[in-house]
Amino acid sequence: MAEMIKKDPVLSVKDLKVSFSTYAGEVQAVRGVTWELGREETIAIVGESGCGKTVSIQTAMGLLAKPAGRIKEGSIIFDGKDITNYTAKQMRWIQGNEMTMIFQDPLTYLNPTMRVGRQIAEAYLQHHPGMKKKDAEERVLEFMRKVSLPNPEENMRRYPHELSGGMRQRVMVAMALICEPKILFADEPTTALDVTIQAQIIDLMKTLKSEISGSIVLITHDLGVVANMAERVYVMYAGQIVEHGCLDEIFENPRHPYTIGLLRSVPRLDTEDKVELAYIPGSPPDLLAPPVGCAFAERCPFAMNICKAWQPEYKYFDETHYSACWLNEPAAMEKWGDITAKGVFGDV
Amino acid sequence: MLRYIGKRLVLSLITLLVLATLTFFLVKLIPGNPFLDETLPPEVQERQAEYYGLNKPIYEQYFVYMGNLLKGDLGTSLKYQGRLVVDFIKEFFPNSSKLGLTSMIFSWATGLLAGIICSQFKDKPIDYILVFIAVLGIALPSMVVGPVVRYTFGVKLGWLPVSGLGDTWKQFVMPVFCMGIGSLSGLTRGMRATMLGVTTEDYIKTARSKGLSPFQVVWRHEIRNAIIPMITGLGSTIAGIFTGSFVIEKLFVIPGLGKHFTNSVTALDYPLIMGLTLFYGAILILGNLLVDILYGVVDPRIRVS
Repeated sequence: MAEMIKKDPVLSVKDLKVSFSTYAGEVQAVRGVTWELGREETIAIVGESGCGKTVSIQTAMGLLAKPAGRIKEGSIIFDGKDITNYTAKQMRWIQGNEMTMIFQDPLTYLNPTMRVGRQIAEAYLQHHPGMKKKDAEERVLEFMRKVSLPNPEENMRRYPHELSGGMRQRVMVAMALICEPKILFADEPTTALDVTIQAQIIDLMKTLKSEISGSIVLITHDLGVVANMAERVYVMYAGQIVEHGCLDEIFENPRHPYTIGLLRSVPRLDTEDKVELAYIPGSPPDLLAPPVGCAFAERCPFAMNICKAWQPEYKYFDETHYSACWLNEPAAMEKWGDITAKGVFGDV
Repeated sequence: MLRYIGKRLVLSLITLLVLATLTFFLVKLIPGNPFLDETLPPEVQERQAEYYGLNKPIYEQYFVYMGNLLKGDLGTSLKYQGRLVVDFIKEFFPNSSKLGLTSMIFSWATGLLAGIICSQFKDKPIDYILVFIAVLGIALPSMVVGPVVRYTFGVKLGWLPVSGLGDTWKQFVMPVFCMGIGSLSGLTRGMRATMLGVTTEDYIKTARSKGLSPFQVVWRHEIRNAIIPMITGLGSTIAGIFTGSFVIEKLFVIPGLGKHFTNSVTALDYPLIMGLTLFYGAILILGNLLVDILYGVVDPRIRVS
């Protein structure tokens, strides 16, 4: 699988299972995911809200809300080191330094009572003890220029509420890149921005990524952003990866019905008027008691008896492209034919 | 900023005039008069009323009083013959304010700290203990706490002096504690709640993702944001601490204003009631102005430019 294309990954997550203890019981948020991130690579993890994508990257970065959330199984290898059982204290050397994160809404994720210059400098000062304040300020200005923030000298003394939404997200990007991390986790970095600003932020992340030779894990449900940035895509559903492939493979030749449904749900500009927006009916399963079979079976128009009884295994179509679906079996192929060609979900 | 403060001060003067008017008429509504004394012949009483101008129509009295007030004259006490109201303030306020300020600083420092500790050890024994003490502190009035503390530490154990203020720091301990315990408890509970609220804010996730230690996250990112809602209570605390000291002053034999304020009402000493009310009013107004300025200092989002 992915090892074949990317030797020596900077991060590899193997068979990770994460659960949260709640009053109602144990919520199995992540149910055995395996993914890898190569050096200087951008991957995307897509899926709807609650599918476990954010939890899996938070776990990788050591930001899991403990003690409610815990790693039940699996391993996280970062840069050749097994960090699965690192203590919070050990993780702090990595957080903000080698792994950083930018978040969805730059207004709520910036401290309202701290000047943005100080917020940008904070991680740098933290990971460069003994750094002079003046040098840190130079570094902040340099990165504010890199993210194209106008008047950096003036803006570094401003508070978040005094900046526009786009400028705030630039602050977030500067904040995340100031230590030149090996991995940048971008958790829906464009969702809260308007469209013109989205494109600017994406370009900015792409440019800066190559400048500091880092890798990006992009989490989003905006497939437009994925197409723009990612090299490989992992599709997650109900705490599992259902399909993986290179960008072309996912967009041109999706094999899992969920991937097909997701792609079809992207609103198009070139359709005729009054075409109903496509969507996937139903809602994801309750992860307090996940189904025994394929988690998508309840919503899948192609669901067969076996889907509800047994979990499908991954099937490889080529070195990179694989999916977990019973439709990959020859017998099912005979029954339904090529589902990707069927187009409309509802017409089956 | 200066313009804002100037504007607020002008508005404060208007507030004080309204307060003076209301107090003047409300006090006159209290039945009886200051010279009511069965041992005095009615003629003497009448002469006294005439001397102080109390037999004139009420509106005339009002204009005379307001005229004097605008000249800065608060009048003389009716009960303590010949003593200026201003002299009462000059003589007794320093004691009250010493006690009030000390207990305010005490209650804020300890209250916020205790709240922060509770929030960091939520649902742990230390949290339960502090919250329990805070509930007691809110529920028990100073006339209960005061005597208990005074008897235990002053009389039984003999560790602390039971009366007076200002000769040694030891005299401060018990009155300051008894006066501050109420607001301390409120602040503990309030700060605990706001700290717990701030912990779930998104920017705390950002701070954690930078690799900051839990202490750094609390110190740099949580406390300042958690204090903002607490400042609202500061204005009324200021007034409460200066006016609410009657019991404590009486108990620990501290010559403060609280006693005179209460006595002036029972004695119907009109000028003294008016003078002290206006004085407390002014403190309250200044306290609120201070709170509004402090708000801007702590929260840049509501800073006046």
